[in-house]
Amino acid sequence: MNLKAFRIKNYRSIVDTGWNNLSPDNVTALIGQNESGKTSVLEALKSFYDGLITDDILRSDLKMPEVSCLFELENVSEYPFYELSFPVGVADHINKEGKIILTRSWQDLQNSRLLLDGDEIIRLYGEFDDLWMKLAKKTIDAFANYTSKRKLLAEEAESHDQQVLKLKASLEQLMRKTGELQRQIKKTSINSKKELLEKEKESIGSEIERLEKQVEKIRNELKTSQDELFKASVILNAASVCLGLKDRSDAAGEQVDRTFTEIEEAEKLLENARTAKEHRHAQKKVEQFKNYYLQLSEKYEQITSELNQNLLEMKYLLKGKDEFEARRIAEEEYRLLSRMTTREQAAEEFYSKIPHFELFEDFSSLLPNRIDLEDLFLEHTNTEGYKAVKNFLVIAGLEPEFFTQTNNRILKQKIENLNNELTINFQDYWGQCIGKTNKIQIAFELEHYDFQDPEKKGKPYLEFWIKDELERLYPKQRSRGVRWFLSFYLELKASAKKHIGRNRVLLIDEPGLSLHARAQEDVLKVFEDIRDTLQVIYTTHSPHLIDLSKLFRILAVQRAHETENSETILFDAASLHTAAQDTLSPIYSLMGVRLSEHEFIRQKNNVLVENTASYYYLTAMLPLADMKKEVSFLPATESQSLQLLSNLMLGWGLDYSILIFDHSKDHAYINQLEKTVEAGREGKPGKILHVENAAMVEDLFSTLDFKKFILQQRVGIPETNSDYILENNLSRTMLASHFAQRIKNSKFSFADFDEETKSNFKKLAQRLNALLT
Amino acid sequence: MAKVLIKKSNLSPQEVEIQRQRKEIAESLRYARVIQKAVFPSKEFVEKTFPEHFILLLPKDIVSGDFYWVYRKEKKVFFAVADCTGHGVPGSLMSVLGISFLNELLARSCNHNANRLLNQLREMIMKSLGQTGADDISKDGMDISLCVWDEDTNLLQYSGANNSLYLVREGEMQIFRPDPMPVGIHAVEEKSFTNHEIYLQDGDIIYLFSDGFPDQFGGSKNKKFMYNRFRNLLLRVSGLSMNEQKEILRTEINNWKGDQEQIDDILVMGVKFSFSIKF
Repeated sequence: MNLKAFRIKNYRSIVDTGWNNLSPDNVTALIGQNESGKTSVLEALKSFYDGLITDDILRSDLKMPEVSCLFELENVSEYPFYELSFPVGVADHINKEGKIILTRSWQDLQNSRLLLDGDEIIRLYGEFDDLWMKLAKKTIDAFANYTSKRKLLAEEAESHDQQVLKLKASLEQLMRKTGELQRQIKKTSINSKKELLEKEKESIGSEIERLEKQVEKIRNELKTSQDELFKASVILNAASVCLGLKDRSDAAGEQVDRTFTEIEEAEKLLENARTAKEHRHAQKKVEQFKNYYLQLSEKYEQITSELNQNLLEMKYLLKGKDEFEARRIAEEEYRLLSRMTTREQAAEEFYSKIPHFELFEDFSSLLPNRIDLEDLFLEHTNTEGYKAVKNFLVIAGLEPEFFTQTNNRILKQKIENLNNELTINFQDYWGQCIGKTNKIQIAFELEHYDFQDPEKKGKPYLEFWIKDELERLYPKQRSRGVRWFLSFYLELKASAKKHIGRNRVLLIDEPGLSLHARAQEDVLKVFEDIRDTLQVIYTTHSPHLIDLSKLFRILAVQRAHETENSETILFDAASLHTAAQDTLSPIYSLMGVRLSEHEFIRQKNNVLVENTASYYYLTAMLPLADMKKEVSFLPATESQSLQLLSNLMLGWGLDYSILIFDHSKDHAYINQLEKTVEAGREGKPGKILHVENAAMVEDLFSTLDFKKFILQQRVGIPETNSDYILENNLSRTMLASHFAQRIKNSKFSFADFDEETKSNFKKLAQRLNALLT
Repeated sequence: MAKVLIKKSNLSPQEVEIQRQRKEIAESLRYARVIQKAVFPSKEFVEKTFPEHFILLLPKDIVSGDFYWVYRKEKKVFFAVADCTGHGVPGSLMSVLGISFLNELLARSCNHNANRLLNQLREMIMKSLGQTGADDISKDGMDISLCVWDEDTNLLQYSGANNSLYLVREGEMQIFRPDPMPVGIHAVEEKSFTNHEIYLQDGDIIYLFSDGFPDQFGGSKNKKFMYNRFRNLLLRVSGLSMNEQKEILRTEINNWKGDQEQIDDILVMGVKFSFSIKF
C-alpha cells in the first residue's frame, strides 16, 4: 500500500489543509518559512500512524485533531474481502477505486479511533446502519395494519359462521319436508298425485344439493379466513414481542446514557475533591457507577441483540414464511450481520497493511556519544539519540535484555565480538570520502559512571565511537555530515529490518539542517537512490534540498496572515505561483544558484535586467525575435539593486548596458542610475535602454498570449498584464521559469504568438541590436 | 366610469394583484427604456457625425438587446452595431454594459485598432461576468460589428464578432466577413479578432446590422427573411436617400412579418460617405 494524499485538521496552526497529493515519485518536499507549520504536517502524519498526541498540539479552540490519509492498494493480499463481511457495496467500491481513506480522530489526548472513511463508504455504512431502524419501522407499521386486519378477518369468520348456521337450518327444514313428501308418496295410490309429489320432492332435492354446495363453499371461505386470522395473530404476536423489546431496549439505552453522565459528574467531583475523605468518597462513587455502567451496557446489548433477531424474524414473517422457517432464516442472517465489519474494524484491518511511518529528526535520531541503559530500558523516548541507539541495536540484533547479563567479562567479550561485525560501507550512500577506504566502523562499549558523576555513580551506560582506519572519535567529534548520514543509514537499515515486506514512509524534519551545501545536495541524491524502496516526505527551507527540475515534488506551507487565526495553508505544485514570495524563497535562491552556474558574464554585450522574471522572458523570446547580437542578460534581484550590479560591472571593467521597464515610475532613481553609468564611463553616453509603454516585461505579450502561454488560464484581463500580476499577487519568477522551460522544451514556437507580441519583441530586439556592439 | 368600477369590483383579489404587478412592470420597463436611450448616442451627435445615415431600431420588447454606438476622438470616429445575448431586460442590461465598456476603452486606450478594441472589450466582459471557460456561470456576450473611421485618411477599419459588414460601392456589394466568435466566452480559446481595412471612396455606403432582420419569420411560407434577400433589398434601395431606405426597410420587414410575432430585436444602420465638397 502506498500513501498518496493526506488531509490534516485542527493540528497546531493547521485548521484544515484540505487534501494534498504527495509527489508521484515518492519524494515530497514541504517548503516554507520557520513557524509556517511544515513540521506540524510531519508530526500530524506520525500521530496518524501511532495515535499519539500531546496537549501542545491542540489549537486554542480545543477542537480535537483529525488526520486522514489516502492509500493506494497495490495487490490482492491487501484486500481483506475474503475473510470479512462488509455491508453491500463497500467491497465493490474499494475494488473499483483501488484506494482507501483512513481517518484518525481523537476524542481526548489519550483516545483516538481509526475509521475507514470517504463519502461513498459513509453512505454505504449509513444504509447498513439504517437497517435496524427500517426494520423497526416496518414492524410498527405491520402492528398497526395487522391489528385492523385481524379485526376484519374475525368479523368475516363470524359472518361465515352465521351463514353456515343459517344454511344448515334451511337444509334441516328441507330434509324434513323431503321425509314428509316421501311418506305422502307412499300413502297415495293416485298416479297423477304421486307424480306431482315426486316432482316436488325432486325439486326440493335440487335445492338441498344447491344449499349443501353453498355450505361447502362458505366453509372453505371460513377456513381461509381462519387461516389468515391465524397468520395475522402470529404476526401480531411477533410484532408485539418486537415492540416490547424495543421499549425495553430504548429504556436500557437511556439508562446507559444516564449512567454515563453520572460517571462524568462523579469524575468531576473526584477531580475537585479537596480532602482525602471527599476523594475516597468520590472515587468509590466513580467505581460504583462504572460497574453499574458495565452491567447496564451488557444488559442493553443483550436486549438489543434479542430485539434485532426478532426484527429479522418479523421481516420474514411479513414475506409469508411460517414461524419456524422465519426463525431459522432470521437466526442465520443475524449471525452473518453481527459479524459484519464495522468502519472501525475495517480501518484496523487495512491499517495492518499500510506503510510503516517513521519520523527522523536531528535530536532523537542522531547517534549520541552515550546513552544511559536506564533510559533505554524505561523507554525514555525524549532522551537525546534514543531512536538512533534503538536503530543501532536493531541492526546489531540486540534486545535491551542483552545488557542484563550479570557477568561483566562475558558481556564485554560479546560486545567486542559484535563490534568487529559492524562495519559500514558508505560508498553506496554518500558520495563524500571518509578516510582512505571509505569504510567506517561504529563501535560501542558498556561503561559505568564513576565518582565524577556522583548522582549516577555505578549506573551503566553505552558509549559510542565512530572509527575509520585513522582515528576513533565520539560521534559528536565527527563532522555533522558523517554523523547525519550515519544516523540516516541506521534509520534506513533498522526500519527495513523491523518492517520486512511492508512499505515505509520516512518523515524527515529538516534533513541535514546544519550540513554545508554540498552535503545537503548529497542528501537529495540519497533520497533519489532510495525512493524506489520507500516514500520520503521532508521539510526544508534550504535551496540545496530542492530539485528545480522536479517542482512537482513541492508542497509549499505558509501562514495565512489575512485570516484571524493565521492558520497554516498548503499549496501544491500547480498552485505554487500563488504562494507568498517568502515561502518560495528556497526556489528563488535555487534559481539564482543555477544562474550562477552558467558562464554568462561576457567581456561585452552584457545586459543588466531588473529581475529573474525579465531574465527568463528575454532569454526565451529574444533569440526567436531576430536578435542578431550575442547577448548575456544578468538579472539583478530587483530594480533597486541595478546600481550595485552596475558598479560591480564597472569595477570589473566589463562592457554592459541596462534594460529597464517602466515599472518603478521612479524617474529620480532612473536619472540617478543614468548619472552613475555615465560617470563610470567617463563621459561616454550611458547605455540605458528604457522600455516605455511596458510597466514590466510581461506587458510585451498581448493579453491573449499572456493568458495562453504564461497564465494558461481563460480569464478576462482588461487591465495590463503587469497590473493583473500585481493585483493577484502572482509569483512572476515561477510563471517566467515555467514559460522559459516550455519554450526550451519546444512546446510552442514564435509563430504561435500573435502579431502584437511578435511585433513588441521584434522592436525590442531591434533596439538592442542597435545598442550593442 | 361606472362600468369600469363595476368591472373592477368583479375582479378577484388575485386578479387585482396581478394587474397591479403588470402595471408596475410596464412602468419599470418604460423607465428602463428612458435609461437605455440616455446611454445611446444622441440623435444630434450622430447626425452631425454622419450627415447621411439611417438607424432602424425595432426592439422586440420595450427595451432592446441590440444597440448602436458612435464615439468621436479627435479625427477618428468609432461606431458599432451590436446584438447582446437575449432580448428584453437581460439584453438591455448587457447593452448598457457594452456601451459603458466601449466608452471606457476609448477614454483610456491609446491603440485604436478595431480588432484590438474588440479584444479588449472581450476581456472586460469576461472579467465582469466572471467567465473562465472552466464553469458555466455565464455564457453571455455580444455579437458586434465595430468600425474605426479615420477622417484624415478615409481608412475604415472593421472588426466583427459574428456580425458582417456590407459595403455598397458603385452599385455593387462587397461583404466583409466577421470572425466566427462572440465578444465573451466561447467554446474555443480566445483568438485575436481580425482587422479589416477599407479605403473609403466617395459615395460608399456601409451597412451594419444585427441578425434580427434576416432571421425574422414571415412571408407566405412562414420562413426566415434570409441574408440573401436582405442583401438584395439593401442593394435595391442603396440608390435612394438614407431616409427613404429606412422607410422601405421598415415597410418590407413589417409586410414580411405580417401577423407573426417579432422574434428578436431588429437593428440596421446605414452610413453613406460623401467626400465631394458641396456648395
